[in-house]
Amino acid sequence: MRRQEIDRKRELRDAISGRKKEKAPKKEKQKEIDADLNDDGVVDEEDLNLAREAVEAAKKAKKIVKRKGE
Amino acid sequence: MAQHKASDNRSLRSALKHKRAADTLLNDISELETNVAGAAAKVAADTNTTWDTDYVATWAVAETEWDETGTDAQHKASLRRVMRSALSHKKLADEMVDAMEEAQVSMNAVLAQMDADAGTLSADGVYEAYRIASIDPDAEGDEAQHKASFRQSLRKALAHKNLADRIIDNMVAAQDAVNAMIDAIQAAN
Repeated sequence: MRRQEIDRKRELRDAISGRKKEKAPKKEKQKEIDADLNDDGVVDEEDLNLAREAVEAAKKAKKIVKRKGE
Repeated sequence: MAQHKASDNRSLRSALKHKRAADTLLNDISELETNVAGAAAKVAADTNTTWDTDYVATWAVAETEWDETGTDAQHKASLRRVMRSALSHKKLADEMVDAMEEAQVSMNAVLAQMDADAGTLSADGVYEAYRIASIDPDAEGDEAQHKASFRQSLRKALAHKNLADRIIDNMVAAQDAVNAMIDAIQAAN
């Protein structure tokens, strides 16, 4: 009952203010976020170096854990 | 008092075990109370002349999307589901969430109508459409799930009598304040 009231009032408000709140669908929002993250669509050398460093650090950490385990 | 050292935000976070839901509810109530008080004061001032043009810009409240689901792993559930789960009481949670949403939408609708009526004191009866059916916190229901009053149910769900009372009393006060503002506008017409 209250839900219907809310919808009715929302429609009235939108009609008065002459604007309809348009929400982007979830998938579209995610695409926008992804686009922001890779706005140029190019993975540059700096990104690759950072990724390599992260992989190396993970390998070292794994070795240390193994040694401790031994 | 040892029992009331924590702030309402902390107490509700602890009771609901959900920071975002607790903060959203309390912030919504607080914002509504503040903005309706400000708008009502402006209404009182404008009744001597005509309605101004900046009601929405100055006093509109944020409308919480209680049914919107999140995209990140931590917040996948909608706040409505979170509230239902946290309170272990579907009907109570829905009533709270819907009451807050209705109050927010009503408030913004009144403000939009006032901007539309700027320069006049007219629009007879239009504002009645935005009146809120206030919660009667102490009325007992006849449905199986909701025999206890809203107040009793919330006290039990939160396991915190004073916190529950403050939340429900502030919610009802905010609803009544919106209705009182509508009364003032109608009286000026």
